Amino acid sequence: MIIYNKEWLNSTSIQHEAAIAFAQGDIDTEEHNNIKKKYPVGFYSPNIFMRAGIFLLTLVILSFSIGLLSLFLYDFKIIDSFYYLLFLGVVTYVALEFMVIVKHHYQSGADDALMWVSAGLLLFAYIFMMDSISLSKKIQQEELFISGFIFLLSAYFTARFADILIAITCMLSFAAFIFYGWMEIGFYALQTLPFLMMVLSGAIYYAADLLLQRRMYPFYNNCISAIKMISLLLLYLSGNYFIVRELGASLSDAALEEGQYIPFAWFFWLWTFIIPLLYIGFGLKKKDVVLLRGGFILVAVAAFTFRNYYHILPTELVLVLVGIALIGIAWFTMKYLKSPRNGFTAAEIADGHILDKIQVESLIVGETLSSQPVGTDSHRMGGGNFGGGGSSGSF
Amino acid sequence: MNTGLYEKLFEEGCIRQETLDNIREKKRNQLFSLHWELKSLLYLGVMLLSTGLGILIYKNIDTIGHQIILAFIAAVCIGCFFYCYRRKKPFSKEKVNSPDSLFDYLLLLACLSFLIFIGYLQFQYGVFGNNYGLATFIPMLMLFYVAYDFDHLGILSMAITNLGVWLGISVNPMTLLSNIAESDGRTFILTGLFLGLFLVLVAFLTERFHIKKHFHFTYLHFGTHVTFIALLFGYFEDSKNEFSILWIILLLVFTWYIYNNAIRHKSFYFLLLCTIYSYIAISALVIHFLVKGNDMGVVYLGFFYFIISAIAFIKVLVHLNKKVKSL
Repeated sequence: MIIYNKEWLNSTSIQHEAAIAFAQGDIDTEEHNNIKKKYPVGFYSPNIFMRAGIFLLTLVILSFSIGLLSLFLYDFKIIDSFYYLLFLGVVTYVALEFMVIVKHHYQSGADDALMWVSAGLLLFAYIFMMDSISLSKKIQQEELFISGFIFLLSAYFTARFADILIAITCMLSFAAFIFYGWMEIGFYALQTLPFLMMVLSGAIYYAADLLLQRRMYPFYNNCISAIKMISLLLLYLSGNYFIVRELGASLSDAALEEGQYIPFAWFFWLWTFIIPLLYIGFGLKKKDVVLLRGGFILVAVAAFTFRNYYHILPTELVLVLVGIALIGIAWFTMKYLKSPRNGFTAAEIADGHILDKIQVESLIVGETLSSQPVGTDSHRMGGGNFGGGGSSGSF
Repeated sequence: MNTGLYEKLFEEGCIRQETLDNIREKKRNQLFSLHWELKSLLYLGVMLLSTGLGILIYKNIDTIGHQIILAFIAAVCIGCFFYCYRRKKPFSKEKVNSPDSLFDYLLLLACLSFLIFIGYLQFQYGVFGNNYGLATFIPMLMLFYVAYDFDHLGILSMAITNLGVWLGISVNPMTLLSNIAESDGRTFILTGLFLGLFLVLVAFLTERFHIKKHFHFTYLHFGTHVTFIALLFGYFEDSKNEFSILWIILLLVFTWYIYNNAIRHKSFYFLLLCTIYSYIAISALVIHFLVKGNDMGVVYLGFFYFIISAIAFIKVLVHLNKKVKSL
């Protein structure tokens, strides 16, 4: 099913491992070259800058080509129908297969762009078709059909191209399909929905984990890991108090008053706070980076959820206190792990791109901490930085 | 990483016995690094704390708490500086590795709180009077001093940004774009051009005289963006005049310089910048000529131009990428 040369895919992953091992000093140059010679890769997959550049340029080429074609065909009155979109989608898809099979592009930017454009065109063709066939159907069913179609389309693309973002789209559209389907047929749909989504995302996580452990589909490993990550997020969000309350209110058209409770509020509050901590705990126990980082992010989400309903302290004080707390936690952990303990270390494990990372980090610091608007005449204390702007401003 | 792979590689004769043993040994005592997690926490902490302090001052500026807030900020600033100063290694013209990331971020916090402190002093007590230039000049000097003495790339970026602020423009590409769009142009463009070329010159000198050679990238990054954007907007500003072509010529000369520089440093990033900005310039020129005719044929020509030029652009990128790799 997968379109790429499997031998090369295998070699790509081995070369990737070898590059890391080389950067960490586990193998020397000669061994590294041996491995490279033994496992040659014929794909064209350039670095990330190239990928981004080629992606954008392919989009430019595609949009101008489609524009030019439509301009030529303008007089023939066929560009209004969904057949035209379908035709464009198929042509783009053929171009995609051509680029991958003949030109051996693999994550080069050109294939990414063609993939998204052809999938998008096919989707719009489908939506236009639905609009022209059934103008009288209910809106909810339309969403059901669209999410179902997105699921089928992206499942095919995932199987064929093993692209991570499309795999994520596939999983989310599946969840959406179940969501809308349950809304149609479910028993006490609105009340049971959060629990259904919890079970669903939990099941997806479990299945993905199993697939990864058994190494059933080695070429899809990246996709499966991504799905695992997103399903963790979905699992949390389906029980998050804010999501349950606001989404439920908007779906049932019954606006909740401020301070009005939803059924099982205590359960959802508990879920909001316990799950992130569980993630962090399991992350540390299993030494699983995804769980750990996900947990950190979700702690912040939980805090925002709480603040949305209860204002105990003014925002700026919270910022100061949390800032101090975070620096403190990081400080103590670093001190504690100065020499490695229990298999944990605060030191960096080299993986070859440190120099790049440091450069990028410095730019991030520069961008986020000191980008201040210049030339307006308000005083700029807000951003946590003294911007000045003195040449034209008045203090 | 699994040792199975290395066993297979060993059987195939790609790696030696001792390498395999080393890797096995390493796997047994594999460490789990919390480095990036801790670093992110620190970054977040510094961000939140400095933002919170900023808002705190902004809100309480009219109440009695001046001295207390001022004292608190001063305490944070001095505390962090003291900590960093005690742990810092002596100044050297080469790269000095920082002791750890805690040092980096506390230094950052120290600088941020220093900026807030100065801003507060100026706002509340007007210590610099009406010398607004001075109010930005002093923090800038301070930042440059800290960047060099403590060898901190992030603070160098902040210092360069502040240099721009002192001159009245922003050096961050995105902000710069909206800046130019809002203002009346001419002075902005000339200041930008001057600043950009100055930064490129500093980048050159940094390397020529071996003073903190690793700062080269940061200077050149800002210098290149600012110069290119200033040149492009110079062209747009004058596009109705005949001599506007001069801007494009200047831009191509500058591209040539950056191109050679990038080849020398094997830096694909700067090659990419060269191609992007010169593509914009050439496209602007082509459209300028196309717009003069106004029938349907021109529209078709325009479409054709973009399709063909984008393909050519990809070819150039692929070629340059190969070139950098083979250097």
